[in-house]
Amino acid sequence: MTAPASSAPARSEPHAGNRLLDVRDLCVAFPGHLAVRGISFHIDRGETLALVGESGCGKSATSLAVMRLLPPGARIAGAVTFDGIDLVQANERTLRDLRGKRMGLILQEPMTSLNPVLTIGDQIAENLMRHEKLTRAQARARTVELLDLVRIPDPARRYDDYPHNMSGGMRQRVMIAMAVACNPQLLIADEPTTALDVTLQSEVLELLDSLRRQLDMALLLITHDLGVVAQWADRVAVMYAGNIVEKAGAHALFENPAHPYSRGLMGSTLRLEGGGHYTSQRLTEIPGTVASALHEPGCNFAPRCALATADCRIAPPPLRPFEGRQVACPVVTQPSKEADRVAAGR
Amino acid sequence: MSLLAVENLETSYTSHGRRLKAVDGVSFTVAKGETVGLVGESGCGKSSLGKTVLRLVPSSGGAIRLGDTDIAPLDGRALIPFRRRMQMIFQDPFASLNPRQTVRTLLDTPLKVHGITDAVERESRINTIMDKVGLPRTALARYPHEFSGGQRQRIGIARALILAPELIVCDEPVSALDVSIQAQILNLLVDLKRDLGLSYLFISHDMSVVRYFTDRVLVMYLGRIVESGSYDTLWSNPLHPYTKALIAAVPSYDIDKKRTAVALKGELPSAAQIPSGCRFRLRCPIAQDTCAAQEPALRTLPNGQQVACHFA
Repeated sequence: MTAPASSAPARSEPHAGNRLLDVRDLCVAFPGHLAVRGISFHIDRGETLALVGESGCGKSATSLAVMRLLPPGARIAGAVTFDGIDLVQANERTLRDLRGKRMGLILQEPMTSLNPVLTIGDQIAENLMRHEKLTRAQARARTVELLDLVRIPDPARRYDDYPHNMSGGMRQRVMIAMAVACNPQLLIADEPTTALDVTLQSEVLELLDSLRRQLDMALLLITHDLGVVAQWADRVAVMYAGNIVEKAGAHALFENPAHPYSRGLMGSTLRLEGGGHYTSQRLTEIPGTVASALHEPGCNFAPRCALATADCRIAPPPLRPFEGRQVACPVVTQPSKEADRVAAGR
Repeated sequence: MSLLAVENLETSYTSHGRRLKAVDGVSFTVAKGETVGLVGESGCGKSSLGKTVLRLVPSSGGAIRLGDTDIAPLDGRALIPFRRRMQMIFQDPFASLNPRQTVRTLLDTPLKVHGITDAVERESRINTIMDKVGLPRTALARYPHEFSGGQRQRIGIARALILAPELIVCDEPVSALDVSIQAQILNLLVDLKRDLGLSYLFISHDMSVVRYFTDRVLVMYLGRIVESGSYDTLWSNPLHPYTKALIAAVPSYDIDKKRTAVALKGELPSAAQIPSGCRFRLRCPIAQDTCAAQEPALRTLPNGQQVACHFA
């Protein structure tokens, strides 16, 4: 048995000083279904990467693969390196030392992620006793501090509450307190605000962002909401049917989305300011459904794409550098007459 | 004359021996061909209001006038002719369709219930509606689980339209759908409204959707309407602090725009513990002593906008 890799210093390639998570050619397969089809991305220390896409695009499978929390039966291929540690090969013991300590996870629905028969305070304290080797009394004191940090009023009293005593917004704060209890380097937030009201959404995201700055965490933000991405992400990876189709800085993506799917997603999203009204403007639709990607030999998006050519249907296009970003679309990156014509018509 | 006129409507539930009012004195109208939006946080009573208007839950006070008849006191058989004039589209197309019925049965049953005995006519109505919502006729023999979320919502819309109603209550019809599918369904609802002259009461928590889709908006807080106005005045000139907070909370797509500070304190209180005076005062950034003592009435301004706030 070797020593747990987590105790070893970050041994690494020369350029990786700032690199926290490196995912290369990740594939996730469930029986009869390939959910993630060879994606690569990285996150540097302290930055926020958003993984954007619609239901079933593989964004949650990616986050669970990184945490190695996929259900039995699911298989992973590719390389996932966290601070020099190979997470795909890591044994259960190494993973237990990492999860909750150096990597935290927040899920969409706090009611199903919390244990209903334990007080919320004990659930947070368990983490601290396990990873930080605190005594029960120390863990309790630290938990009260954490509840205060996530702005739960009257934290000392709320320690002994059960999840059902709390509202949805409060429960999500408990999840956040639990995830950041041991000052993780990486926090994965999978649709952290989808189940919450819009008034709470910005509050919870603002909280996550300020914790990220205070604790110098990196944040992998998984969401379908482009407004959330525009406000809280540094970089964005757009996923479609198990592939990353565009990787760009948040600014570049919102200025000028390149991939036809990114464009379609932006076009069909409703905006509060400067948005149209049904009496004067029709919404841009992306025709068809994701299901069309199922047996597509070429680009997954080709069956729904207005720019698709015969070449698109032959082999899946790789990500290529284009205007300071990466785009998996040969039609857009090597402008033909057709793309120019359509782009001019926009 | 308005198609629907709701006056001082109340809905109450009994929970653990206590009565709580989910809808507490709400008045509004929906004109023929108009789309009225109803926004608010979860638990504010917007779904209860929608269901009460359709008489799916009983009202405990007030009037619901459909045309010139008050349907609030009607019961059982007397309601049937009014039911075909108003229908509902639900949020979750997975939960609102019977999994053991084919699409044909789902669409045929309402026609039978409402006394269309001629099988040929029923068949022709079903085919017409399938074309209108953009579903192939081969779908008729299939079951709900065989469809995607967007297609299932189309089935839900077809079922709501099969009796040729005048008013449709849409309760969060697109919030369970992906963005690209959401656009398809909203476009379909716009087309149907134009083709069939429908009126919608459109319930949603998504301000961007309401901004795009409705003509007039009601903002609801703890069972009361706190502000209403046409869609453009409400976004350009919100008066109630709650409306302002709701609008400010929507994340901006303008990446250069500075995030605005969160103005709302705390969360929606339970309808069982309604604060004295103004219901919003505990979370309000501009509340003063008057607000605790006196509940502000819903005032109508010269431009037609309505607001219930002492300081707006």
